[in-house]
Amino acid sequence: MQTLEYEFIAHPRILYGDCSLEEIPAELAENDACKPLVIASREAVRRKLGKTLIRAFYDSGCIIGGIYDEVRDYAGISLALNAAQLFRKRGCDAFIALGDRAAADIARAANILVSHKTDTLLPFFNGETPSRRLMPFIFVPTCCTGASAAGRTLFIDNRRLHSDYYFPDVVVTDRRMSLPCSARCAAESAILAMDNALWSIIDDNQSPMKNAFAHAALKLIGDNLSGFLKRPRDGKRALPIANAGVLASIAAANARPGIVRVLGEELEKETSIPAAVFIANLTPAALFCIQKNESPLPGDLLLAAAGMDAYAAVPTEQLGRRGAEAIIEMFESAANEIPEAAISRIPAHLLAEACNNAASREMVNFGADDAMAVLEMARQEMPWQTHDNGERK
Amino acid sequence: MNIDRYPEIRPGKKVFKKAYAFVVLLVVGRGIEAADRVDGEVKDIVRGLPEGFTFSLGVAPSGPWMVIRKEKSGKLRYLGWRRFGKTIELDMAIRNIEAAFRIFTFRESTAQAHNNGRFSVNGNLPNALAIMRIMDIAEIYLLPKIIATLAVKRYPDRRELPPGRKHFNRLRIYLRAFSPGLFRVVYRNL
Repeated sequence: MQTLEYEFIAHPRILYGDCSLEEIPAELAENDACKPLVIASREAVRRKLGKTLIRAFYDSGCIIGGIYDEVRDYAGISLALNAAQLFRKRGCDAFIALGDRAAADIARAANILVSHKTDTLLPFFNGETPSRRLMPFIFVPTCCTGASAAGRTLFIDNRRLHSDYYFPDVVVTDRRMSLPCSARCAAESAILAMDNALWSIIDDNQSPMKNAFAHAALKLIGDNLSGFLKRPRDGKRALPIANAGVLASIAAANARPGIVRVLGEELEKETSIPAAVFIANLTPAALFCIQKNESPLPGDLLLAAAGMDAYAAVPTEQLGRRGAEAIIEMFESAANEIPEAAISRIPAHLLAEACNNAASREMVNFGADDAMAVLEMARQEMPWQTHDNGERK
Repeated sequence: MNIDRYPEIRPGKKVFKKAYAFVVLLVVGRGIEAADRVDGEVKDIVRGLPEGFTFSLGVAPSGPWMVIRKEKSGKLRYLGWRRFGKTIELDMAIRNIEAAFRIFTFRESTAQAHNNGRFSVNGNLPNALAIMRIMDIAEIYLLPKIIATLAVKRYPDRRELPPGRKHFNRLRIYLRAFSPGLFRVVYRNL
């Protein structure tokens, strides 16, 4: 019998459901804080989510130190410095990030600056890890892939920092906040959540806790994805997908980054096309490569996406294949909502550069050749897109 | 950087919701006091509470509250909405005014609210559960059945609480709750 050796950390407290936004003042009080600085994305403020957040503080006795709403798509160090300056001048004692990944990253970076009483992140870029606990940090993900930023990675100025201290203390998924702005945004959120869950399950370092988080995320996505893509503004569907995004990002924070996510991020850097677009196109190819190499897929976990009935109807020896098919089906249904990433049109030198950069990232367990093989597979006519008799599905 | 572009924000107040919660707590508080004098089951539960036991139920962080004490005579007494100067042994707080409004508009039963983590309890847990049972009984008497079924965990059937006894006790509780004693409490708390 195989003995398990694993470590798992899931620091954030997840608040989910009706009135969860109104719980923030109580959570701040439990962390000995009463004056938060809100780091909000421009998009969130434009959609008046900032006002909704302020209304949640009515009758709470808390004062909001300010809403710093300069965050757009890119998290830069200058924004973090400005946020830290505002935090100090206002005498704040907690951070609330409202928005997507960029808002969360600015809040994390500003949190490091104020907690370590410094004006530079250079030591941290050079490998130093935080030496003390950071200020309370609450993350309220909004649409546009926000929930996938609940992990332990800080991505600022195109650099990645990892530490358990970067986990938010509280993640609040609320119906009023988590509605996507468009069908494309909904599809991208679902793709990122699925990717995080999928590669946490496929990761070599098996851990029952990680599997539990990823399995729950896949189940939530499987139950709600089709309805969510048809009606992205339906809160009953959007909220479970946001919750799945949070669970999957916690699972992914405890796993090695998957080949597709890393490649997607590197290609995003090269082409400025969102990573989710590449992930949707590369995942089927990557799964096919895994199956071709006869690596076993944990089909029992992957089939969570298809539901209990599908799981019960599949013979044990076919679980891996059918699990992969169920996942590919979900990715393809989400990919219908986003433009196709024409990988064949991207210059070869950019692809090669992305592969090399992906293979040189920390903690990855694949080489540039593996990444290129996945890209080559994605450029071809996919074997899973044809029936056994050769007709296209 | 011009920090004046990001002004400090002092969130406002939800006056209507607070006023509604205040009225509900006042009526429930008086209802609990009256139910203790009318209903046998409430009397049995109160007998198990220690003498001088004082508890408060309200909305964190700034109220409104209701405070009830077990007197030397063994009866519960509603002391009003002021907590200052009273030794509270069991402090039950609904975590925010929105959650309180959900509970007091009966969109969520008290048991479901406990399950959803809407309450924070500071004190002896068995006593807190006893108080929740008393509140459920008081709500059964104070509210029409169609609303009370939403507010309590389980509405008693006709054998447990015959309709005749229910309506007779309900009348007595209403008379006691809105008796001149109410004005005494209001006067003392002003």
